[in-house]
Amino acid sequence: MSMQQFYALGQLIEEGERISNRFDTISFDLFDTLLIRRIHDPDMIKPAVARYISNRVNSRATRQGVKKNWSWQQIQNLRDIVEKEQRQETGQRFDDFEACYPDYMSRVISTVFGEQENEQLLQEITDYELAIENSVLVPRHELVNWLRILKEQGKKILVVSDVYLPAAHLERLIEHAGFLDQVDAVVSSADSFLAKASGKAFPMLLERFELSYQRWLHVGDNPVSDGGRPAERGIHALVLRDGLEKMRKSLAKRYYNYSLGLSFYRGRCLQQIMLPLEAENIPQHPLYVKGFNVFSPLLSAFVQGVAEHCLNAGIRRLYFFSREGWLFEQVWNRVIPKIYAGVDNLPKISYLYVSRMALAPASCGHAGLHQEHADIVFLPPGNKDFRDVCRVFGLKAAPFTHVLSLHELHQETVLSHLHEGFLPENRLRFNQMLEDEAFQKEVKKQTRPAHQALHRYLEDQGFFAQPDVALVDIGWLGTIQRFLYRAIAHRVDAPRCHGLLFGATRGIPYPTTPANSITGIIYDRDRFDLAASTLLYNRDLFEEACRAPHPTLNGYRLTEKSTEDGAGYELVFRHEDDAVGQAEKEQDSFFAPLQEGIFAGAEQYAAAATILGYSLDDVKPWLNYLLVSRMAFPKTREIEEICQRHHLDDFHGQHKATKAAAAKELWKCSRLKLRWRPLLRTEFFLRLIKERLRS
Amino acid sequence: MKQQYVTGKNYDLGKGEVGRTLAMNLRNKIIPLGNLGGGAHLKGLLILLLSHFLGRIIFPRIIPFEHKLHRLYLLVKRKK
Repeated sequence: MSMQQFYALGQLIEEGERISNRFDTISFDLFDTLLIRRIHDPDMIKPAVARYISNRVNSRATRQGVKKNWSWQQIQNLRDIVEKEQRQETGQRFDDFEACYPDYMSRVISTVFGEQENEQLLQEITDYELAIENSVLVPRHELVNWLRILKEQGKKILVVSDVYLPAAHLERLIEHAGFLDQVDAVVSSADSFLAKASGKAFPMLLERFELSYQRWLHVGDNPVSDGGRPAERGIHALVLRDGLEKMRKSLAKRYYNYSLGLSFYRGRCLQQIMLPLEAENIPQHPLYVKGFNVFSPLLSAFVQGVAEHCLNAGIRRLYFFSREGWLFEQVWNRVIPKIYAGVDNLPKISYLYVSRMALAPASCGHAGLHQEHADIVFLPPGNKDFRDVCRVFGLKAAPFTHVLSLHELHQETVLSHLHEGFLPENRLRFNQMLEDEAFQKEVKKQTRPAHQALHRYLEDQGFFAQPDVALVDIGWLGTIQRFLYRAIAHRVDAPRCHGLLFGATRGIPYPTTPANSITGIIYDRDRFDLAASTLLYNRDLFEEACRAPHPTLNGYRLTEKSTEDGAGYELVFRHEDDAVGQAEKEQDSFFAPLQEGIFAGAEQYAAAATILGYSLDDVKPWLNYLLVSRMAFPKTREIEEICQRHHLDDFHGQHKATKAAAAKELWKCSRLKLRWRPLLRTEFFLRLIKERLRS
Repeated sequence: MKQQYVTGKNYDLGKGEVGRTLAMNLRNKIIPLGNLGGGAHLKGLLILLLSHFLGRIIFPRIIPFEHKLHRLYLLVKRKK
């Protein structure tokens, strides 16, 4: 019998199929043969496990008031030493220097946790290590298909591996890969310390399964362990030395090595590990691809930044603001429990139904209408007069007729400088009216029910139970938080509100106090970050991409609290049966593949970030590159594919501004311009630099 | 819309990300694009560009000589 080498998987399978009728037992190597790893070095998962153990032991020490901490590097060193010791011990008794994971990991756990009853801990740490392994393992589609065919032909299928994990653990990995039912037995050198490397595993298998060397075919990737050794015994061996696999691993290794010295490559390396392989990589909708390759790293890194902020500030409660928060919450659930496994002071999360239109009235119920909030109404060019103020703050205009006339105003008086007929003195009169007690009394009277309903809703959500809460939203001015804080600020149990935004554009200054602040995680105008500021090119795109598939909240309605299950409030959502609602639904379905890609990408981001141990700061240069390349220098085709169709904003009125200069936007340029003006993107980018330097 | 792959045939992000990275880094030499962490090392980027674009041709052809090439590589490394 002999050994045959193949440099492409197809050739190996072809030969295997041709000769398979001569054999009734087929044994396969597992790693790099049936299962491939997304990472180039299998040892890369060990630091992730060390970080998990470190988190566990340090959390326990904090709870018990013990000061001694274990760094993950110390735990990794300890694991290496104990594993090496076991290999040396094994080497004295056997030909192979093998190790067995449960044996040496028990010793590590005993040293670190310093206790006897470590069975449960060992189980949990093993589960974690196998989960990390599973996240980087991908079955080789063609080879597994061939294995299935062989099984159907009645062959005995064995999986044989030289590894520190015992067979029971390998079975879990194979089960996750989906072909355990096709395998007759899984054999690991960790159980017997007889490995393929020395060739001792083969006589052991012969005896255990009553095999015949002449009727035995072995398939693997190592020319010695899977080729020379079985061939010496008379087993026919097929060795796969796959050129394309070599290429893939070489690229992963190169990105990893570059990332050690150049921070730009850290995010790129992370994305290389995220990539779907083999049967996972199927043709997808272009928006799915964008969701996976562009939006998922941005949004996953954002929630990672939010978690880092909460852990550093000791915030134990976090609310995601509707509707973009819906996607953030989904991403959080996929990313954060994996990255921060073993950390027990992560904030508890909830989804909070809020909107500017719902909170604006509720914010006036106690403190009345503040001038700063009224000014916000006139920021969008669609709002023109007092009727727009009433629409935004949920007021009936008729009861204000008298007070308006007292200040020489009427409902149609133009109050926005963007509209024809605007007189600055009218705005001054309006501001004076805001200080009128009669006006504020009427405002409070009309908005009190919404205010009370909001408080009941927030109490129901446990909002006032913590001294600090993180409020997560996409951005941009922090208007929702501004309204929310005004609605609750008078309460003694009002928590300190830490707004964490994807992008804080701060178009108008935020009234920052120790009790109420906003921070931009990916972009904050208070920190000069030219590359990240490119998200200003198309903010609506991020809003649309993250939006929940439910209608916007229109308000909080006070209801009877008399019944047992009556909460005393009701959330009022916008109807979806009108033209705008239908358009929004159409937009949601258009972006559905994008969100699918984001979710799939977030899963892989979690695995890659856990393995590499990267923080937001590590991947920020790459995120900046993604933003600049996709927002400021996009390809024409990309703009056409992703440009949103409809964008609903009830806050913006329906009036058409006459004085507002039509802001020139790259993403709204014609296809002809985008395609044929080579310096168009550069022009816009230079304009952005100018604006950022001025602001 | 025409369907696409998340992982390109050359193990790149989608289609031609490495080329785009090179273009952006060259652009960064003319206009400041912002904080890109010092950018990508140009030589490294060119090696990546070659690996992505020519890897499918090169790797399957050199893999039979992997051990010999590895010995040669070690020799060159030692001489450096």
